[in-house]
Amino acid sequence: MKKFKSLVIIQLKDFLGNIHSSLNIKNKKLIQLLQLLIIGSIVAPSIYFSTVTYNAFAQLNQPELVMTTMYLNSVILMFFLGIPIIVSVFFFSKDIKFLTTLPVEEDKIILSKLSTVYIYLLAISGIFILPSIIVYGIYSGISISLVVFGIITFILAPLLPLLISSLLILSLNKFIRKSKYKNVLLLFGNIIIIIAIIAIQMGLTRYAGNPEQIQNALLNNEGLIGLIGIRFPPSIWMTKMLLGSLLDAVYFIGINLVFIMILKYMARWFFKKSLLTFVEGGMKSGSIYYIKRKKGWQLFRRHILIIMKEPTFLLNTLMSLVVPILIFIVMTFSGQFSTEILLSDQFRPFLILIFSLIVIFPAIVSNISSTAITREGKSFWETKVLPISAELNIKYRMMSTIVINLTGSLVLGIFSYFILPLTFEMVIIAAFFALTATLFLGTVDFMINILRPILNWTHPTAAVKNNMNVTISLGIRVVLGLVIYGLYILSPELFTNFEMVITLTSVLFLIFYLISRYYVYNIMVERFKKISI
Amino acid sequence: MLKFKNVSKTYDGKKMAVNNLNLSVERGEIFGFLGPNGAGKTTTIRMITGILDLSSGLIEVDGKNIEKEPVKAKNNFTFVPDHPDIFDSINGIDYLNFIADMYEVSKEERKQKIEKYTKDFGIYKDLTQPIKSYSHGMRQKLLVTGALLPSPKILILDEPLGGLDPRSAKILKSMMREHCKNGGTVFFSSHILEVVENLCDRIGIIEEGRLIACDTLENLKQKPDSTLEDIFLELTEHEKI
Repeated sequence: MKKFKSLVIIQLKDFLGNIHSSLNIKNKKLIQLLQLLIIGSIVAPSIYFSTVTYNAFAQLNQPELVMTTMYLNSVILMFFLGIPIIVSVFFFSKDIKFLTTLPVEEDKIILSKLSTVYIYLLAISGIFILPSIIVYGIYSGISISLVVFGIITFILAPLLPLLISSLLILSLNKFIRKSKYKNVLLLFGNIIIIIAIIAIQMGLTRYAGNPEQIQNALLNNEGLIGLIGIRFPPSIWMTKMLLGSLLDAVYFIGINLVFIMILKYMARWFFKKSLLTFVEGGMKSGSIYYIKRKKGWQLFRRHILIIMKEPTFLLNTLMSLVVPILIFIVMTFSGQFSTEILLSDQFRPFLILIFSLIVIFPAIVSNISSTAITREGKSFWETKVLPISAELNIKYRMMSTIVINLTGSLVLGIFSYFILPLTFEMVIIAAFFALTATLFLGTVDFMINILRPILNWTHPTAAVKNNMNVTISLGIRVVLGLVIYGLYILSPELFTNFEMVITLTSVLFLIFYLISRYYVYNIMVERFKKISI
Repeated sequence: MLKFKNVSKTYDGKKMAVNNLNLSVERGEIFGFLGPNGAGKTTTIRMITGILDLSSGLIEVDGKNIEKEPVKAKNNFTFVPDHPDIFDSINGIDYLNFIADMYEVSKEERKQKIEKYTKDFGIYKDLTQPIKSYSHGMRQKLLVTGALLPSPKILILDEPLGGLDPRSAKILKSMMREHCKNGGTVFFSSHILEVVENLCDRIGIIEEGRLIACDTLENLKQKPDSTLEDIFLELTEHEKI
């Protein structure tokens, strides 16, 4: 047990240390403030949603179903969120080989590695399940059994999705052993998550906004509790446990223990047949070539390859480019959106605005320029010792990210072209808007990265996701949005002609781009030269 | 070929990593740079290569100031670091073609050199594999191959023999000698005193950022039968305390 405890502690320390170092903020108070802001921004809507759902169920005298639904939705969310983290923890971690050499049983290694995933999922449990229990307690009355079983629910809630995901991934991996599929596995898992999150988000919104649907479901056959029970019995056991049923408490705790035992029992097999064979990797075929290319092209290609060849970077980039398409697909298939709306006369005046917002989506969401230096990590020295000027080094870094974002805009534009009744004029206006917005925001993002290069990261996720540069970059966009909104509030008449507003904004972006470009190449270049590992 | 004039480096204005270094390395010379851990060897090499800024003084590579004319200075040397942290998702051949393009090595020349060096090092067949699948030693061999491709005037290596098997170490040593025979210069740091003793024309010993000795091995020897190890330990004696 001592060994297991040490393994868990070291894994957790590494996990939390990585999060802390990736923030790269020295001011502890600022970190605490940011953490509070982030938690608050997630918990507040969760509390609101719990209250709305509670009121809806209270009308049907079944307010406890607020906990059932929040538990169920959280389990689904945890199940999908757990997949990429589990894949990352097992198949992309560098310590598996080292851990294998230790005199510890395989099940302890597997379970200790899962402890980091558990902490991650526990946060989700705290954000979504705990508020629903608290809301229920406040409105229906707090009892000792609710407090005790509430804490048990909070602690145990991540276990089932975590264990089911682990069993699924480790079993599937037996069939996908060759390392060339590693990236595909991670990409596939993450795409599923995004779709799931969007679908759940939309489902919840629709659910909360239409209490009639809840009522209909409740009146149908055995009611909602019966429907849920058939799909996922632990949610019923959990609900009854929170209402004070000891028998259901035994069922709920028991099912979690059973899954832990299954994983523990199968751990040795997973470790040998799945994990180690995956880590071993495989040989790739290819040919040796001697092609002479221009310096600029090689530098551009290098930065593109850094994104393309690293699954975390690729996924991060791809997701930000195609999310609008995914939202559209989910909305269309869930029946919440119809293309007929787009063709209606009422919609026509807003067409240029919608289209322009779609094509600048990559420029707004994809802040890959803010990590254009960071992504290189410790290999940053490579281009620094080469006989190329700092200006050239900067130029191709920026160019690669801008080309990626513009490609995203192009894809979204083509996709929209087949759905929206666009005119040639609209396409030109939106294209100019996308170009200038991408150039300006990309340059500003790059300035952030020069100021905060962060090269000593241990995992690619820390370079592009858990990174304050990204937050700052998104913050700039929020400020920009607020400025535009402020202008609209002050002078709504300015916004009557969307074509004119978008064209003028594009011209402003172009001017801002030229100024920021001048600043980067003439002033910030000195700062770039001083970046060291 | 390589000149240091009053070079100093401080971190955060407090820790003096390199203190008033004056040194000149001549064409065709193999210069060994020795010193205990944390003495300032890697900092010095990082300043030559432009990875770190100088706090004061100047460094010239074939007459070109590394700070004022970085591109011209960098055209004169290639560098092999102590830790082979390179972008490792690409294949070995991608890396070598990248380096060759950066130093404008012709197609024929790169083909001939890549084949020669990688076959000598035994990594030719691995060139189509991602670098991340390479061992430490294989990465080191790849970096050395890349550094030799442009036939640089100065070859700068930081602890180049770490991670290399005896055969590859021997090959590298003969490559270094051959490089100097062809008019090139080699500047390298090492902890392996035997290698420095047998390979170098001159030796510099740095301690706490100061160059405490710089001469040929023969001149450094106070007794005819003393070894480089004796000299090194004697000069860095107070470190033990």
